[in-house]
Amino acid sequence: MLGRIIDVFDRRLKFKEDFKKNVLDHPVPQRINLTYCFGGISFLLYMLLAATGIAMIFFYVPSVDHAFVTVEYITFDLPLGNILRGIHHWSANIMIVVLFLHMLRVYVYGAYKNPREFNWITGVVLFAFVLAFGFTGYLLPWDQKAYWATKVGVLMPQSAPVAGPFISKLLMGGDQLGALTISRFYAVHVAVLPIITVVFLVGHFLMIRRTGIAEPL
Amino acid sequence: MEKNKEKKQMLFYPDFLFREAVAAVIVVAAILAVTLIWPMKVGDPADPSDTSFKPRPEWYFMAPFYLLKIVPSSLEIIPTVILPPLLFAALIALPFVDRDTERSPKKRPLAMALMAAMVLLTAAFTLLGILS
Repeated sequence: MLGRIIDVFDRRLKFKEDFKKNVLDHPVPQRINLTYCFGGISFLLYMLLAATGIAMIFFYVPSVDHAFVTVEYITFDLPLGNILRGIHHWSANIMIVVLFLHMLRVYVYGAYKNPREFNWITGVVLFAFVLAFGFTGYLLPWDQKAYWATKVGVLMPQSAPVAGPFISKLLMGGDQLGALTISRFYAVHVAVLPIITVVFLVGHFLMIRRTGIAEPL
Repeated sequence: MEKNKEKKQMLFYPDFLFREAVAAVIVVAAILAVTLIWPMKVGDPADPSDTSFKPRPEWYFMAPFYLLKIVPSSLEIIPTVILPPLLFAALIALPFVDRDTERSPKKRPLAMALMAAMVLLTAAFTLLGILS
């Protein structure tokens, strides 16, 4: 059934052969070990985070008055809500570990060297995005832990000369951590970061397809 | 020796994707397990007037957080403003600074020593922060 639907499109658009040649039949070195799976696993975690995150958007309200109670609702009252939030939480934490291992493997195997320099750079940028995801996401439950840890974070740039106070103000959306902070952290967490992350991911993947993964040593 | 090492290849699908799928199943099972073992809770609602609350970041932000706590306030600028951008700049510059094509870790003692030092320092500060 599915095959026939695909054929309907393929007769007109002729994508099957290219897909087979460029994606499915792409050659990969045979002697690779377990450490080569970390990149793929972090992509899997990204998709898990996107799915559970989108599901929570339906119930979470990013405001000083509603953030805490809606997270409480997701955690205790929503059917499967606790599991939804749990998967999001644990995937995020495991993501940091897996990305760290991924970078370590690439570093030890010298896989960042010519011709894969730009793969390394997009990877470093993606890691920075993941840290930003973590920082912005931590505030959203609007509990004591979130509030006070974020306060330390947003005030950190303040000691910088000239631009410091401005950067802190930009992060908070004003002079204090409050309503405007939570809405901009939410916007960055669920819209800005996901989109720029996908853009860099596509670059990361296309480049590694072109150069091929580094031969095992 | 080297010449006998034939560059054998396999296909992305199904060979590579199968291995990746095995790893994926293990990771998803692990996530489900920890989710069920330790259900999510909520803390106390944020109270901006309660300044006695001791801030604690996520474990992966613990290293800079701990540094900020232990340096005197005159040096505060080091962990807050100087170090983070410097580390990221160093990571981005890495492939252009280290242009040697040698890939074997055994023949890159400097690179390996640098990495070991960075990993140990980060791990030490993270641990000290968590224990403090």
